Amino acid sequence: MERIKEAVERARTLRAGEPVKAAADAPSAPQQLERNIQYSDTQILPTDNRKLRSNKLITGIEDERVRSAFKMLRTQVEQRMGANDWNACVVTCPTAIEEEAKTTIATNLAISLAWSMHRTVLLIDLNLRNPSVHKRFGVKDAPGVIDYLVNDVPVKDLLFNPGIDRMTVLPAGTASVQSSELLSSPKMGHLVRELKARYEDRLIIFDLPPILTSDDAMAFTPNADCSLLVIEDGETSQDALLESIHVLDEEGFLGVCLNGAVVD
Amino acid sequence: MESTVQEGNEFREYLGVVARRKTQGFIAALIILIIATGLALFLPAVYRSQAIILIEQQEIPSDFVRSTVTSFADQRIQVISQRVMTSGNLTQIIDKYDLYVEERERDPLEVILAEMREDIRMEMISADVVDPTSGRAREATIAFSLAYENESPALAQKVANEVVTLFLNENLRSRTEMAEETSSFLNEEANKLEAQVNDLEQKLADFKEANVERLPELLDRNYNVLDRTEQELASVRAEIGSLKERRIYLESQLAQVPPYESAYGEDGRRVLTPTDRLRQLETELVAAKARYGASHPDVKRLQNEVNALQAETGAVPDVAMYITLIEEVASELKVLQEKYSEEHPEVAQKRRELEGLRMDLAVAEAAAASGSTEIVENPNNPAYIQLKAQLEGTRSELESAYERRANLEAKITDFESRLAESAGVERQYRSLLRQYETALAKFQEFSAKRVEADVSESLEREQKGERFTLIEPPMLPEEPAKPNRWAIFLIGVVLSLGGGAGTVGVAEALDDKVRGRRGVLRLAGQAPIGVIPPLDARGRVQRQSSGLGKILIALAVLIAVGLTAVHLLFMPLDVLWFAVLRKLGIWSV
Repeated sequence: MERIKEAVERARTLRAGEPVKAAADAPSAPQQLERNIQYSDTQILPTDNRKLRSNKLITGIEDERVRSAFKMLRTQVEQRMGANDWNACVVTCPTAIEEEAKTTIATNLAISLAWSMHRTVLLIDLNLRNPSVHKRFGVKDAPGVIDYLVNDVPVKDLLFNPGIDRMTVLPAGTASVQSSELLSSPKMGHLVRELKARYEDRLIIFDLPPILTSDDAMAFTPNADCSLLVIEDGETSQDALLESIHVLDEEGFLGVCLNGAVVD
Repeated sequence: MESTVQEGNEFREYLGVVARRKTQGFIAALIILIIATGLALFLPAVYRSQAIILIEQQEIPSDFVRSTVTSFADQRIQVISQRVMTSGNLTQIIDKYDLYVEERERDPLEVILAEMREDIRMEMISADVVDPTSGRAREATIAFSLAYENESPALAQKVANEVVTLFLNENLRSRTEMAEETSSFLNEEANKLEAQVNDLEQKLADFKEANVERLPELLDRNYNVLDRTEQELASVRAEIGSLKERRIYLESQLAQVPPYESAYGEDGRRVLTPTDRLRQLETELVAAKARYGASHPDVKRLQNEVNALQAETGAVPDVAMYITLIEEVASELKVLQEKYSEEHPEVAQKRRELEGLRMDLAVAEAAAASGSTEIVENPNNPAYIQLKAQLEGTRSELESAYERRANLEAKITDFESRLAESAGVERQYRSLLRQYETALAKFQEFSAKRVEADVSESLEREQKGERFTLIEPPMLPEEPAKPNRWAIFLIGVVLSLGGGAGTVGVAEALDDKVRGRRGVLRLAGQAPIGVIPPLDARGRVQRQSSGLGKILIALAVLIAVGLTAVHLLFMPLDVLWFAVLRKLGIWSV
């Protein structure tokens, strides 16, 4: 695993420049981030499997069908991102219909990616109006992005480890009505750039609100390298699907993830 | 290989569609089926009472009597139908039998009448016949049926009866009416023509009368007559000529014969009859006139004597004598004129004498011409008498000949004018004759037709013509004609299947959702990069409820409903069961 990491880094160095240097030049906050990758200050104990299962996390689901489904998704995502040297992916959906599925898939994708042992994963919940990721992990309230953006809470204090190796979660934070503006604020953009640059072999998964219903979700997408669209079988309208694809940047569009379909 | 896989996929997709929409489909099918069953069971029965009326051909062959009622049977039936199903008639029937009670409360009259007209069904029954005149196959209406539908069988029959009666009566009435009209029309025409003919006959007769001799038929005869008449005239003229000669001859003979036989006196001398004396005196008178002139007393004395004797004897001065004397005197005068001059007294005297004689001659001729023959009293000379008689006879013959000639001449003139006028008369006559003949021919033609029409009229009256015969009177219906419950149910089944399928199809078509991998592939252009099975609230994979249970339940319901329907509408199930067994040869009862 380490060897691969090194190889990738070397390749990156050859191509990009001085990532290590950048890391060194970064202010102290990134340093703290770095540390946080390995472990977090606020450790969250994983709850029992039943809870996890009812939150639809594959950590709690043993059904091989589900796991392999996510494995396949993960493989696809990894391949494409690796082929293009992308490390930040947005998971979104057309409308509120698919919102729950989107969060499920974003979370499980992150977990799956973490399990693959190739990379580390950072899952960021950008549902600023309706924070949901932390709930999946059984956490009631957790500070997050909003708190950083509004109150300048240091990021290292916001990350938490969900008890899964190589995975960190940055929750959305305290729900805020101003979420729209926050998403498209320059500070947000800056944060993303920072997080991206910090660890280049770290994959960042953004759980973005439905793109058809909020402009800023759409406005945010250029911050990431690629996007994944989640739709619900039999629920998503064809128009919504088409519109979403149309809206998302073609180049960075990984594909559609179909939720709730019968796997043959 | 690929195509079968593809087909298999497509088929699976359809199955998927059906499976997904099965609920909707079943619901739709069930609703339709329930409605159909309801209708099949609860629609009120309608009974129909039907009568069949045969259109019978004319009994008496149409060569003998041709009917004047000439429209086609279909046409007539339609016309009768219109006449029968008037608002008046129908309203009467409705009132009589108290029909359409409910409808009368809420619907206007026209609607009810329309409904009644619908309930009265008239159908033509035709057959293929060979047209006797042209030999071609043709469809002819040979009968028609009249039926009335109602919820009550008894009413259906009664009203049907009424309608049939109305029909038959109307048919009869209209046929006789038509025949009557025809014959009355012909009558009128024939009468007019007859008057015309009579009028022309009269004219012709008058004309003939007025031009009776100039008629062209008489032309030849007239010519002949003219010829003959002219011949006759010629012969009469000849006769007249010869008669005249004879008269002159006889007159001259008579003049020479004394009327009396000479009577001798005692002295032996012939006694002079007064006539003789007269002659003597006349001669003396003439000489005296010449010598002395007319005014001499002796001459006057002689003249008186002569006159007296003339009166006595009635003798006519002797013309011949005067003529002779005139000749003598004329010759004497000539001699004198040669001898002496004109002024010589002897010449003058002679001239006087001559003139006097000429005057006397004129008088004598006049007297002679007046036809009075000498009245000789008691002539006793037989020769004289005979001659006289012959003369008289000749004179009278001459008279009659003159008459005949005049007659003939008149006749000729007359006939000539007739002939002249004949040509014009002929033209007029022929034209009149033609008019008359034409009118007569027309009249005869119409007369013949009138006779025919009269016969045809009686044909209708006695119903020997084409007639409607009720061969099947309206019966009391035992079974309802409508609705066909079984058919309604079956149709309902079919419709429910169709409706179910249709609902599924429509719902599917209206569906705008993304479905399955294919959906994504079709829309996004690429297959989904991830397919996650559906998780229930507990995070377990949702079992695809195969819906088999539902299908079974639905099927069971359908079968139950179906069997119930069959039992109620068609045949009781146990009967049906045994019938089927029998059919299959299993049960031989």
